[in-house]
Amino acid sequence: MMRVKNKSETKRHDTGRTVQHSLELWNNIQGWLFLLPAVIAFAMFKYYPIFQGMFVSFFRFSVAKPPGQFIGFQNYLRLFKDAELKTAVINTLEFTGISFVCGFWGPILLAILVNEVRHTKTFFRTAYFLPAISPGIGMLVLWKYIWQPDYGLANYILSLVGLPPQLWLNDVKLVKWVIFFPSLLIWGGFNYLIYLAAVQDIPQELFESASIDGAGIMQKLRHILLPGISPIVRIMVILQIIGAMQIFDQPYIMTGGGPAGASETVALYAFKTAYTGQDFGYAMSVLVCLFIVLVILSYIQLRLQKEE
Amino acid sequence: MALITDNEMRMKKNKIVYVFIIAVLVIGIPIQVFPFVWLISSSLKGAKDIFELPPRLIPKTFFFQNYAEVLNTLPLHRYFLNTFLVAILTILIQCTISTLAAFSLSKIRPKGGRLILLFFLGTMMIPEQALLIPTYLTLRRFPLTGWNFINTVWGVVLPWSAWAWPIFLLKGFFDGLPAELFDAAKIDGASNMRILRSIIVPLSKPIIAIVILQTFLAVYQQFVFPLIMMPDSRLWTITVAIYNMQHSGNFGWHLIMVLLVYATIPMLLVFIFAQKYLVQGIKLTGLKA
Repeated sequence: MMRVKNKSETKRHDTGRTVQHSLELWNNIQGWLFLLPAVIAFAMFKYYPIFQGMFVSFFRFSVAKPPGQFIGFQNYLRLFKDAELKTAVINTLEFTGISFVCGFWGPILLAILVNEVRHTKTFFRTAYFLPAISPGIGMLVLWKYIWQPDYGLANYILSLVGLPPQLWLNDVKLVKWVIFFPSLLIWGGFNYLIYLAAVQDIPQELFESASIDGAGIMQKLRHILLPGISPIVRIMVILQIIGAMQIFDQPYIMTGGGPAGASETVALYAFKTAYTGQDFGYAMSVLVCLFIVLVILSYIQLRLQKEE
Repeated sequence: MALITDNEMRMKKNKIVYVFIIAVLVIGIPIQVFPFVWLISSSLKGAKDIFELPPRLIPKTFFFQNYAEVLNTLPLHRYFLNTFLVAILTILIQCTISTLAAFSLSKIRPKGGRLILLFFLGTMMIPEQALLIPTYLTLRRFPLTGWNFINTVWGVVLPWSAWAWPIFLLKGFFDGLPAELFDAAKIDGASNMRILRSIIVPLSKPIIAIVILQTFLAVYQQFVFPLIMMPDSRLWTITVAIYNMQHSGNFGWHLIMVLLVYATIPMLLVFIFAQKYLVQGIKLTGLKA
């Protein structure tokens, strides 16, 4: 702390403050100049569209004269009476369930197993990552071919085991599982690497000292390994749910939502409403609702992350 | 790391467990690898053989001419050119914007920076689908200017310029760089731009490589955005071409499989030559996402 003694020192001190001040101002200006392109880009391509989307959801959209006629909350009221949307919502929830049941345990188990491997880790890592090195769309098309009921590979394999052939993508009951299968392989390859990194982050000493204390493999798994990766598991669960709620590519490419709407999802339904029905206003009201649900989920995720 | 410690490995019981683990892993591999084998096998079959029952793993006769036929019937070079043009422009624009922003947030720290970080990160919650339709409407008639970006490369490139993930990655890395470097250069009178160019960027090559790689993979695989923003067949990217060929119905499965093989090649190359960065990038996704 400097003690001000006389006038001239006060003055010098003031100039110092002004210099300090203008330096800070200059620093702020520069900082903002560096941020400017990104701020413009985000405003233009994220915030403007999403607000425009919300805006449009209150209109009976007209392609010729956008946005068309203002109709208040009518699009939103329509949501509740829309039977097709109800099917889509149920389907989306089922997809989320499937993604959880099948897509969740596999990668964790795989990561734990691969982590035990001593010599050929890279080989297994690469092999299980393989489905992710082809463009996702390509894999979906490939599987569409494999699932073909008349000449597809899937039915042939069933016949080898002595099981009756299936309609796969044309089967109302099977279609969701069948559509999702390739994505499970692709996502699995990614997610398992994430878990593997988490497992490898657990200090080896913990395992060593536990085994000196006489802990068995299962005990170490339950009390050291699983708690060690649980933060990342919780985050991944939410991310997986968020991903599954937006499922679009899979049904769009493999079935177009069929058979009989059995694989129609919310995102696909909105897409069709917008581009086939040209009803952008109603489509946006569907998506705004989806958006709100996802924001709530993301908020939960952030809270979990903070706790960590 | 491993559940079974080296000491325990000497016990017979644990050796059995270990062998069992390896066995499970080995059994799982065919499920992952087989689709690719099937892809290549099908791409080498004749137009009739593809419907043959029971299907053969090894084609009766190898139709290598399928690969030439696809090249002759489809403007494949154009699809790839479009895809790479989109990828390169996206990477250039997005990397520049993100690096500038991350540098400012991490090292210059202007007033309101924290708020801006939230402004960026908040967009990660917006589902792609919810953005697709309004972005289409925005790009069809750009606010104020009235420009129409539909059926131009910019219709796909520009929306990518706002992606919070690379800013987040870069900022995280910049934060880890010692502050002394920055302060010392500052005292020597170097401008922010100079510090960024000659200190920060050279030190951040690994993370920039990860950002470029992840952007490339995301752009290469994107499908709905180019489908909607560039419907003109002269602008099709490779994924859009795959979709349209498969959907048109007058393109045999064997030729579609050839197309898929072609489409896999660039990603395969990336995987072979940049596997290190690829794996690091995925780990970062887990540690920070």
